[in-house]
Amino acid sequence: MSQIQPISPDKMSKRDYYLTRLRLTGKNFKEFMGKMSRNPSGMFGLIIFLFFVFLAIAGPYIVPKDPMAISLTDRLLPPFWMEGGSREHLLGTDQLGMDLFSRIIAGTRISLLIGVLTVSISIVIGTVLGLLAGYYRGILDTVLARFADLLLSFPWLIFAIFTMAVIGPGFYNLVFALTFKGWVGFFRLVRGDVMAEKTKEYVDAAKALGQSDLNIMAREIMPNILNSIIVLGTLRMGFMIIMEASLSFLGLGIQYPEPAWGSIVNIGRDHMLSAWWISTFAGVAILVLVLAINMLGESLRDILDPRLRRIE
Amino acid sequence: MKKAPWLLLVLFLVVTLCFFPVTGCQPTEDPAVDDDEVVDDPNDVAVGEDYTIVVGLSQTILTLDPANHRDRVTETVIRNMYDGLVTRTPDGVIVPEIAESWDNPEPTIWDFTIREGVKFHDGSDLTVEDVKFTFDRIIGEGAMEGETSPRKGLLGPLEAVEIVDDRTVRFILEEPWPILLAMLPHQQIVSKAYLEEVGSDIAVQPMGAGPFKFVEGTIDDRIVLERFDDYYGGSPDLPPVGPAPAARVIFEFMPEVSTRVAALQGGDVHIIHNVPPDMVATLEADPNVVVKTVEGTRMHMFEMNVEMAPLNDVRVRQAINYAIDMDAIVDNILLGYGTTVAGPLLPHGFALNTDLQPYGYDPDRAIELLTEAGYADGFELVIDTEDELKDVAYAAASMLEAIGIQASVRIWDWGVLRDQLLAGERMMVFGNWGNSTLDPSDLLVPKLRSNDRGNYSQYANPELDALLDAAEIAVERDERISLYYEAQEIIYNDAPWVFGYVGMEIEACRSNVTNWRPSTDSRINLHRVGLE
Repeated sequence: MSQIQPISPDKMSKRDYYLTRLRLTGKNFKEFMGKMSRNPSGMFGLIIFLFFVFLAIAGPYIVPKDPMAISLTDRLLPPFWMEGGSREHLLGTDQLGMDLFSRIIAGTRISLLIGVLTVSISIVIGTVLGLLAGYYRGILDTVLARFADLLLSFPWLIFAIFTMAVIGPGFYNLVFALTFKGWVGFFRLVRGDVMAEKTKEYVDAAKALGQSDLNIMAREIMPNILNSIIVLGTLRMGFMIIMEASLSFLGLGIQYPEPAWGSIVNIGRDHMLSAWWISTFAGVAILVLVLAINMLGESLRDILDPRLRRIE
Repeated sequence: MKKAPWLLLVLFLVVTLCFFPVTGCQPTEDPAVDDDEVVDDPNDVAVGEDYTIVVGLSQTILTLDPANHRDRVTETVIRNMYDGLVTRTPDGVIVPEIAESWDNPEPTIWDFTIREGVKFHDGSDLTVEDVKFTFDRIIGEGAMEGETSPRKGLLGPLEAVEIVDDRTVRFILEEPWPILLAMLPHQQIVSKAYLEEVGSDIAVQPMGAGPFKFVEGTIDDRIVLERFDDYYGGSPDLPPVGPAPAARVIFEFMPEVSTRVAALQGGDVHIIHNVPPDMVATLEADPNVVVKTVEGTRMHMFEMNVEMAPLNDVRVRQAINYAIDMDAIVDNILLGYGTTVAGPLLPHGFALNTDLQPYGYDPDRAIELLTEAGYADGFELVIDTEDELKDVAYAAASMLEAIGIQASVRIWDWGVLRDQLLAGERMMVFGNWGNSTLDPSDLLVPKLRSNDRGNYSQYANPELDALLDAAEIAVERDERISLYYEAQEIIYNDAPWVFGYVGMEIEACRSNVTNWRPSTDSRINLHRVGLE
């Protein structure tokens, strides 16, 4: 996909233009899937990731129990294969008798939603600002780049903890806290790429043809830097999920008894010695999802944009 | 193989996450302190004269100044360095300590005779001057470098302390206060000369007349004490009398339950407290560990803000009492290590009105009452609590949801919450109140008298105030009982609380720890504790 054929609506009918684009996309997709299939860890990551996406979407319809139903008589039951466990509660229960299997499935939705939301908002903000800054430079670039440097100088977790402490816990606050610093990575990536692309001949050609700045940014430069954004976005998603879990673990993110993996790990901490299953299974869920996303991102990087290996 | 770094990173993150402390209060191990430590591993110490006892405490402490806190764990540490005029046996009986005897010639006058030969850690003699100075510092407005002691409230109507002769001090009360003796174990005698010399540094360099003297440590790290060889011996009513058997005592702060339990099982500490009921089975299965319990003195209850709608309607408050199945909470969450109460007093406390029967679990009656009050569709209710008590709060919230009240739980840092509670800004709080004197005065007055210092439910009832005030100054035992009986009935019917339970104190020690058992007031007195 790195070499997109220059096609332009001026030389052909609108219908032909879109058909060509579609064909190109199809061809690229086939080529991409071909490469992907030769990358077993990427395929593995993709399959696991899709499985979690399925859980997130279908979760509420397939959970065997209400993930927030408290049952005092079923406290701290072990997983079904252990003595005292039952098939009623496949992975056991926590200290309020809530079914862990259902909670972990329900938690998938929160984790993925946070990952997807924070990354997409970050991409939109970061890309738009990066395009503007990289393309026009000048005072706008200076201000934005310095601000980005400022944000970068705070350690991630501490910054997020601080933000959450100020605005209070909750789902949307969490998205806000993570996006507040999340866009910087995309901003820096896009800005750098735009500055590099801007000097290339095709941009000069577009300018000579009299295309507007907006057109050049959106139609000419964007397709050439999209791959890097996709790769960084995927890798960031795993990171954001870890951040969400960390904050929920600290009691600053999603609040117990809302089923979020981080808060389940936290709740289980007090019972680590007597009921290891609470923290363990939620921890494993985080591990598997983030591992899958990172494997996927890693192979996307190999396929789409080998250059990034040096940057990240 | 090239994926290995990623795998490691993710593994590392998850593992880190699993063991991350929940707040910043985890004590950080300073390697420098460990190196300076003469005794690093208590197990290495030869059994006999020179052993060290290590105690794992569930929180860091606030200060080492006996007059500048209101915290039981802080008092536990301080109480091993300082003695009081009187003390309590593990069962809660008041016995003499620095005071040899006392006399109560008039209801408002108490004379204490000070024991001879009591020495401070610096070798000076403890005199009546020191006793007077100690109490003046607590009851005087602004007597502590311009601040008033937070322990002033624990001395009720104490007006002045006077020196009668060189062995007698006289306590003068504004009005009769029958629980003076029961409250005195909470005050520890400081040295006048030393305090005038060091001032507020007493908070980091404590010096008392207790069985152990301060060696080193800070309130957020660990506290190391060693035996005071010239100790006068302690209360003769709590034998054996004499200097402590243990050469050294270390208080380690271990807020994590798992850490505390693992440290005990691993032999790194000898005594731990605040063992959650869920851990008892694990500990009892360990032959090296003994679990000991004692009836606690902390009343756990949900306080409802009677000023705030819809909790200003007594029917709603009663409905909530009917809706929460306290027996199920005690049986399942406390695993039976607790006792439910019918009214506002401790089941083994003084003047318990046994005519009162618990509201009991009756969701139908609850719905009926809610409907009568016009809240058939329920209402939104936030239960505030602190992290340690959250399980009970969540369980109660789910029971309230069953009768249609949209209840949720919010976890707070107590310091932040307390001010809002006193200002009447919160709806309902689940907390507890220590009543180590076992006397109603120490519980009902601060919690339910109009505008008193712990009145989170904003309850204000002139009728009750009159009864409580009368009981405060009544001298006759029977008169106090009948006044408190009536007071309990009013509180029971008005239901400003969801009457809760008293949990047992569950503590555990290594099986070689001798002469130690938990106290009802949750103090850990190490004076007589040994190892075998």
